[in-house]
Amino acid sequence: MASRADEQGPVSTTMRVTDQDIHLLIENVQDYAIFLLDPEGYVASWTRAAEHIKGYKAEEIIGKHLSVFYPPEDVEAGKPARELKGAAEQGRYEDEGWRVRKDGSRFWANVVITALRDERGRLKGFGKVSRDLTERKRAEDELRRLRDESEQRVQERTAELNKSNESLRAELRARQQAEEAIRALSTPVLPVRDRLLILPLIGVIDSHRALQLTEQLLGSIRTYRAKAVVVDITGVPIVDSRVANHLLQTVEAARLMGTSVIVTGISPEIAQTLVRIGLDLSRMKTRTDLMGGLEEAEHQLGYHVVSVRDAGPSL
Amino acid sequence: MAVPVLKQGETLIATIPSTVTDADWRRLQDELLERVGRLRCNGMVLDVSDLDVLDSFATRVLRMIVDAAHLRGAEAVLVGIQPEVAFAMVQLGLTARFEGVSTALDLEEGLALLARRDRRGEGGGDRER
Repeated sequence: MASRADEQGPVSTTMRVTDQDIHLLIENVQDYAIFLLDPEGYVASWTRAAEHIKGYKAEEIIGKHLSVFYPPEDVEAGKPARELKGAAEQGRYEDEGWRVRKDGSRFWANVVITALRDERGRLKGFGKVSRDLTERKRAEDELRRLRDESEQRVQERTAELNKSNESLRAELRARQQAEEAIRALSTPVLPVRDRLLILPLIGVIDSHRALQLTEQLLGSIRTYRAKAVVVDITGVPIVDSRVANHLLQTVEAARLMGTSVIVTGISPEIAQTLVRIGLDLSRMKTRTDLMGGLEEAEHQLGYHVVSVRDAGPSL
Repeated sequence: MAVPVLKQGETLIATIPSTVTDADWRRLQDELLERVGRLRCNGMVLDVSDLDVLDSFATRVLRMIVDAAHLRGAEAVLVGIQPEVAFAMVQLGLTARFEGVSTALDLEEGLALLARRDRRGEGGGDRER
């Protein structure tokens, strides 16, 4: 980067700086407490800014050891001596931490201790520059607290969400299981004799269940090589035209496969409904009840039911 | 592709492969109706268990074979219609074509059905509704 020196030659100024001017600067800077320590760490000079920041007047503090500025626990831990040693060895030592005012209140300070040596390298003392950063520290802490708080809130929220998610999932699982159980229950296909099935239906048949019933029935015909199926609808409270139609289609499909379906247990109400709907149900084989249906199926299969009367022990 | 036709006693057995084409159907129709007379058969089993679908054309041909065989003195039985095929046919309204056509679960059942009818002396002409 170009400086004024590059463009216009040596910088000239009318101000002649004296040691007194430097002293004025140090004395008048308000934000920094700038003072000197002797090689052992005793206060050797004081300024108004130092008085303002730390609360001590010059006559109260000059000749006191640097450790009065530190909290007791730091003094006990040997911090003042360590800082002086650090500055002596490395030329400077910087620290940020709690310091104590005259009235005992604490403030957050940025402290730089600089070793001062003469031209032969002998330690003449230390320069100490302190700045009160309490405000900044408080703002930072506040910011950190707010951030932690919001982070915690987010975590709580997430945990809450996870929990409700988990319970939802559990509910869903339970529901699926229940649905599966109901599905298995809703269309029980029972083989009663060789090649004879019964299908007792209970409860309302909606279109979903009707479709399932068809699949189950036609599949079972194949599995059991059934020649006759008795479908008992005693337990079905309502049969509307859609269900009746579906039942009829299933019977037809079974017939195409070479199996006869006998529908039993049609209540007087349902019978009237079916007639009123006007579906052609003449091809559907029906019997009053399950017993009649079984007899018809057995007859078709060539079974003969013979009643045997046992007259007690013979021989 | 030719459809294999076997003769078992007085019964013709045709097993229709899943790859059957419309032309195959027509050839099969002619062949079956010709053989029924030549071989003096009184029964016929049409096995469709390999078929995943029975469309309008196939059902029409099958119905034609069944009715024409009846006129030639042979009882035809349709066997092995798959559950999905059966239900699809019902939903497509194709079942009317098979009204009055004898059906059985599989080849064995079909042969048993024909045998039963033979014993009862009903062979040939009469068909079950």
